Amino acid sequence: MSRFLIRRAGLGLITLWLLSVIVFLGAQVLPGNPARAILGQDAAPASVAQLNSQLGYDRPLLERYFDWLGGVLTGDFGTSYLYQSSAGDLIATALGNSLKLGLVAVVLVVPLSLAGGVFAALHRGRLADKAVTFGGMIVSVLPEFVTGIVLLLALGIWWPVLPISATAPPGAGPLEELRHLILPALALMAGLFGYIARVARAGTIDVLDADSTRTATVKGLRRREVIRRHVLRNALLPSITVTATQIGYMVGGLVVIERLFNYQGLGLLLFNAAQRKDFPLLQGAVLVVGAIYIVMTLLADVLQAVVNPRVRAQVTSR
Amino acid sequence: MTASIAPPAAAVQAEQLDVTYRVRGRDRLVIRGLDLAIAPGESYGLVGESGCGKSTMALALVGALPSNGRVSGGRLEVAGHDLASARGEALRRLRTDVVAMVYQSPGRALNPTMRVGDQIAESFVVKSASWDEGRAQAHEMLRKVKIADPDLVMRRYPHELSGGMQQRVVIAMALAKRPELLILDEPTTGLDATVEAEVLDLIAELRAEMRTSVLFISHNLSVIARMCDRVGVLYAGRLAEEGPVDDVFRRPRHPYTASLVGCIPRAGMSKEDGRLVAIPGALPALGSVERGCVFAARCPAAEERCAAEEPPLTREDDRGFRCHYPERAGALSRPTEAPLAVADPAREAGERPPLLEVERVAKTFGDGARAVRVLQEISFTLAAGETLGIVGESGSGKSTLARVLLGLEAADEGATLRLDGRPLRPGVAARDDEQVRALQIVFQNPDSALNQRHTIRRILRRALRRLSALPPQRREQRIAELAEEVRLPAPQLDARPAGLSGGMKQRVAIARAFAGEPRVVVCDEPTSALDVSVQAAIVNLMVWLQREHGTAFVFISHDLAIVQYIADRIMVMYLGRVMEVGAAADVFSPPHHPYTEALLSAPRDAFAAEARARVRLHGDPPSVADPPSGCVFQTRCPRKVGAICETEAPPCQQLAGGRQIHCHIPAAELERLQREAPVEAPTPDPKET
Amino acid sequence: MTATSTPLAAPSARRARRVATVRALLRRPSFVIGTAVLCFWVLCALVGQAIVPDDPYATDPANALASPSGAHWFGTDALGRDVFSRVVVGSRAILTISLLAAGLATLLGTTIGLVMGYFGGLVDEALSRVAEAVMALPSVILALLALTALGPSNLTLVVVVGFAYSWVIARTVRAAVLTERGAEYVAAARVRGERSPYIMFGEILPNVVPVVIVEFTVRVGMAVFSVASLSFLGFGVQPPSPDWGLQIADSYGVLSAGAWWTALFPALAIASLVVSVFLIADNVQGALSE
Repeated sequence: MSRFLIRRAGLGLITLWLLSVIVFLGAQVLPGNPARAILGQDAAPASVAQLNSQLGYDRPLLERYFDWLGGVLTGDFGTSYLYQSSAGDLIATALGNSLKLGLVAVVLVVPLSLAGGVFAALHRGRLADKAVTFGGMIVSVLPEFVTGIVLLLALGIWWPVLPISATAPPGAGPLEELRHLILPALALMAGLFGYIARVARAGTIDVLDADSTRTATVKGLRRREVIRRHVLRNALLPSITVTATQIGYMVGGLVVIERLFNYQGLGLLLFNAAQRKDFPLLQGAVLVVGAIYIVMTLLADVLQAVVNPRVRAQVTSR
Repeated sequence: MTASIAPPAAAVQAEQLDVTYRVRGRDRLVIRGLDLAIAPGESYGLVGESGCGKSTMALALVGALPSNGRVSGGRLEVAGHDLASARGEALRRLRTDVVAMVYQSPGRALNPTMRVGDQIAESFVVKSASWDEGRAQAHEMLRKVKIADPDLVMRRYPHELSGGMQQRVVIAMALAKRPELLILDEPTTGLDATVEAEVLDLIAELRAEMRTSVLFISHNLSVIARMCDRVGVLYAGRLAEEGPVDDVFRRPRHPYTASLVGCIPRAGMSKEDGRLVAIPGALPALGSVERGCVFAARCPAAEERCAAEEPPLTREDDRGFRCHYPERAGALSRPTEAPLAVADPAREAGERPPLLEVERVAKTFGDGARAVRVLQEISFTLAAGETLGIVGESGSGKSTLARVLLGLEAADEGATLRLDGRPLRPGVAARDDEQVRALQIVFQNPDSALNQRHTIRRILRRALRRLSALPPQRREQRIAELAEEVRLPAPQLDARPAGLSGGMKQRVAIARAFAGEPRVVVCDEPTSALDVSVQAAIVNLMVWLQREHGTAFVFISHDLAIVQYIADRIMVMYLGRVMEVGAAADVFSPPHHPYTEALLSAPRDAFAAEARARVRLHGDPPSVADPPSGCVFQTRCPRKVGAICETEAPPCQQLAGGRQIHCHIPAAELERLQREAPVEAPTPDPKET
Repeated sequence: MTATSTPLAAPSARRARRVATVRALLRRPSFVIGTAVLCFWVLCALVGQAIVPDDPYATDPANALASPSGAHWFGTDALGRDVFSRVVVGSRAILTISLLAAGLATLLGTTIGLVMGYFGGLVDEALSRVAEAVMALPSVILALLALTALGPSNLTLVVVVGFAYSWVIARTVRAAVLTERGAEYVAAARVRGERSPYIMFGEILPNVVPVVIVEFTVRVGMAVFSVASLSFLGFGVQPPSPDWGLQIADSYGVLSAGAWWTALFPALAIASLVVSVFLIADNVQGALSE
């Protein structure tokens, strides 16, 4: 098992390193001339050259990359042009806010979508099944800002039960803060519900149709015993991976949602950095987003190995 | 056992039973008008090919038909309980107390994430035991199914056990209920022959002890012959014939039964003795025959009347059959005279110059500490036009050997392969065109071996382009000739594999292999994926093609009867080593290697009474990754002589006629032992669970 | 042989099967609805400019933020432009970009996936790591990074979104190829001396085509999703194009002032397009796996 952990973590590190290369390439090599990208096409060549040397872009590429990587490894993400302060600190604060929002969405969506998927599978082919799978799919494929706009209009403006700003006024209690987060969290979770429910449903149906379930039935177990003891556990195993990757991907939706609701999270920070061509900040924030995903998939694999004896056997024999 | 005061009801009573599946909005009768009765304590066998309705019958008996299936007519009772109307609690009671089932693939029948002990205990818990009691009784059950270390096995998950062990667990689970009826649905299909023999013994023993009625479902006549008192033969959902096992198989009254008996070579029969009985055509699609006898279209004895008028079930003494001309059946079960092959003394004596020479082939997968050697020191020769049969269980390395010969895998350093005296390079890409042409293959599963997206014509055309020197304009004509050679109807050339029956697909695969006039065709279990009625036709075809083209075969199979029929010489493999090589006729008579001896004593044909004295191996074959020291067979060998077997690899004893036996016991001694009494294998080492 | 047991094969078996698949699709109501909606938007993209009541670019400050009426069915925006006309014409950019991006992704992804699955070993291992690293970034964020660096343009949008999704497709195709690679027809091809390119494209590719088709349809939907999101953020389709995402970005600020129509109608347009594509994708997947 420890051998598997080391191997899996090693692979995660390689992926993370490749990610840093991609991010660096995207932010520093693609623009060709970063200062020109920042100042615009009409800037005077002299000022472009000056900015380039001021920002260190006149140094060799590899040197810049290792400088940046070394910094990141020691927690130094460089200085944001836009805010003129430590990119690392900015990212940490924004990440904290985003985690709050994300947590609300995850706590709502994971149990709901798993239950929805299992429920749909147990009522396969009936109206309840179609409602969950069909409805779930539709809300999930809509871009978050579309869901967001509709929710905003419906629950914030036409029938104003929820505040339309995601940020509570200063000094508000945690409950008030939570109330402000519900609308954006709903828009976020809409994006996840369909995918998780779908995998949970498919997993349940596979197990319901499996020979082992028939064995349990023919043994004389009651249907609810069959489902509780023999179906649920096997059915939900595949959902672990999907849930983890979907949570990792939720960060993509955060950019849009935080922009729409003007919430000071990682997404909005990323958006501002992109809009103002604040490359150190953008690079750092994108790297963090990717790292979150990689860590989530790592956790999913490890969890899978812990709870699924077959996977455990595979990883220990390897 | 639950005490029943009323006079014992029949274990199974089916009257005019219809079972229907709803497929794509249409009802299809899978079982039609079935009458069947199993007496208390009786063991009843149900044989038939895939799709004949055997498994449907089993599922109907436990009330577990798939959601699109239902009992649509007639009556079905198990031990006096009506099943057609049983619902809810009544059905559940029936399942906990009356009827139990053992399935074909134990690996899939067990819950992968629940410990084995708990799964067996559950069978007691449903009968209102506590979990602790349940576990204690599960422990007891595991002892009953002869598992050496129940404590250890209880804590295991199913995937940690071998197939044979898994099936014991399923049997333990089924017998935990002390059922009045035990249904066994192909319980040993997919197990190796030696393991199968052991599981069958166990079932027979437990049945004798528990006096349970048994419904034994199998496609394998020899297994039915060994295990059952009476047998019913199903064809396309209809009971074709039934009666006492020996009587039915020896004196069939239905042409289908007769053909089934005749299409499997009897022990001792070879290709020089005559051709196998082949049943033309393929099984009709579900519920497609509406008038007349369901077998009429394939029946060699059929008259006009058969297609028009369904024969009634005729009862004579303890026999029943559904045929207008029962007297014609007898002649059909005997192999046709006019053998396809003629004996060739020179070939048998191994006096022809070798075509293919294989020396010291070894194959290792992986490296370092995790290296697994699946083949060790394999050497043999093959003469032109000869058939070398290779027999072995899973893990014996026979398929890897095939891949090495064909250049799909490279052998380890030090191996030599020669064709016509010229060295064969390890990889197929490095061999010259002539060598590539000379060596071709027929795979086990034509569904996998034919590209589903290509038409048959395209498949053959491509083979001709690569393997023959024909100019493009001659190829179309050659395709037609090839199709004719393998008896493939011309219109099917433009179909895709999915549109062909299994037998037809295998004919295409054979045609493809013969496209470039190969010298050697490697046949890797070419009949194992086919129904028995189709197998015979394929074997006949291969023998005929061999005679026409003078092709040599390397014929790999786990099925001794088929190998004995088709092979001139036989090589027996175990765990990647050769145990024994010799002319086909010699290998089947003493002296033989103790492993061959065990293989030979597994049931091999439908005439169980002739079964020879039994030698049984205990335990599962060891893992290839961790082979035993000394002789690899020593852990299971019933004739182990002592420490020498554990420490030294056995010598190769050269006997007359090119015979080789790898054993520490001198051949003369082996012969004396084997002509005397059979032995029981040593009790397995508890570690070996 | 019974006539019923072996369906006689006609030369046009392949076409017959295709016809059967299409028939099966047409029996599914959600597929028909999806196709109808998609066709509507394709039509709008092709001829919308010619048939709309007003010029989608013409501003009319005097008539700004007029609510829906007979003259302006969907009202007007802050510059007094007709929202209905802009919604109809706005389908063009997003449809073109999404289709091109999905096409590029499919082409690239299928090739990479074939190479990974067929050659396996180190090639596969290396490309798998790259795929994982690319997929660690949600496509919107990857695109945001590249569009910031390169400056927004429709071509960049196609290339970036196509690149991002190609790795997802590559992984799916790889898995399908791995299954096929173990099949005996591949071994048979090697035994008769076929070379790798023929085996990859002549033998294996036809067998993974259903997977590729499904991936393409799904990716069209995902591309619409991503392009709309990027436009909303201001990095996608550039003004003055009447793109839906842009329209929403321009006008959601006036939502609280009560001008709901400027954002809601483009939002519904996006919703109908995305859902229609996913309905098609879902049904195609269902029909092909039957």
